[in-house]
Amino acid sequence: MIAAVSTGPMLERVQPSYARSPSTSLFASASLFESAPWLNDALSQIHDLEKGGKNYPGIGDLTIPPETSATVRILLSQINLPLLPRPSFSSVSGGAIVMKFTAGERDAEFTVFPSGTVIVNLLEGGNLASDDELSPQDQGRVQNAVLWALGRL
Amino acid sequence: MPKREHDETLPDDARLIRILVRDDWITNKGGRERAASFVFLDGRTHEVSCYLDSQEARASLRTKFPGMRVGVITVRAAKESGHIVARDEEGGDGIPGHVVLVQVQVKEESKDHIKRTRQLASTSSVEPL
Repeated sequence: MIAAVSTGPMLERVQPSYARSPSTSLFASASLFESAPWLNDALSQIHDLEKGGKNYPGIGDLTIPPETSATVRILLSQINLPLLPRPSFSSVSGGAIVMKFTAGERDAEFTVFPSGTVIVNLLEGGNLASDDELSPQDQGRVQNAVLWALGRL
Repeated sequence: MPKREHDETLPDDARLIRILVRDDWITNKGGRERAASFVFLDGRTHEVSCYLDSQEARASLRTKFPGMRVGVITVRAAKESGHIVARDEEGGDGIPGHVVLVQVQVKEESKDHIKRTRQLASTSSVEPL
């Protein structure tokens, strides 16, 4: 006699998708895009910086290379928070971008270089509380910097 | 990139001006306007264009950047934040008194580099061109 296919413990151990830990996959980013209004606005601001970039001879080149904006987008994809204050983005001479999250007296400021280097500054009342170099793929540290600015860490 | 050398003939109290080409290059801290923390940073060449403050330089800049404002620092502040001030007349797009600030005390694109740039910006003031 052929044994019946088990529908027991093996299937029960499968975790539902909503119980998975945060991921940096494209799928996760797309989900966040739908649930986080700040992200839509942030991506729009980056697009505007890319489009409006200009070279000012004798002053500096404010065009944004794709490498910088790609790194900024990776940073944004690491922030798995649906509600955030609107971040600001500034173009820096030489193709860098400064991205800033501000909440009250606190700022989390990320300086992103075309080389891919990212420096984060945490500021309280305009004074430097801490600074560090980080990898854009480092979800924990990117998100913790934003949580610190929000006073939730 | 040419090797840069500090111009020792510049007095410490010589004023350097940098055009603030975007509104968000100006910040207001405690009611005082100054250049934003990243204004004296360059992400690629790590050389920042400024001009020795003079009527001639301002007049030339006004024709190219009408209505804009400038961030003002001194050679002393630049040196105290680890920069040299090197003359570079060829890089000024025809505007006299072009100099470049180069950070020489700390590693480029490091957290100390950002700290020094922030330090320099904190000494700046903002003036009409």
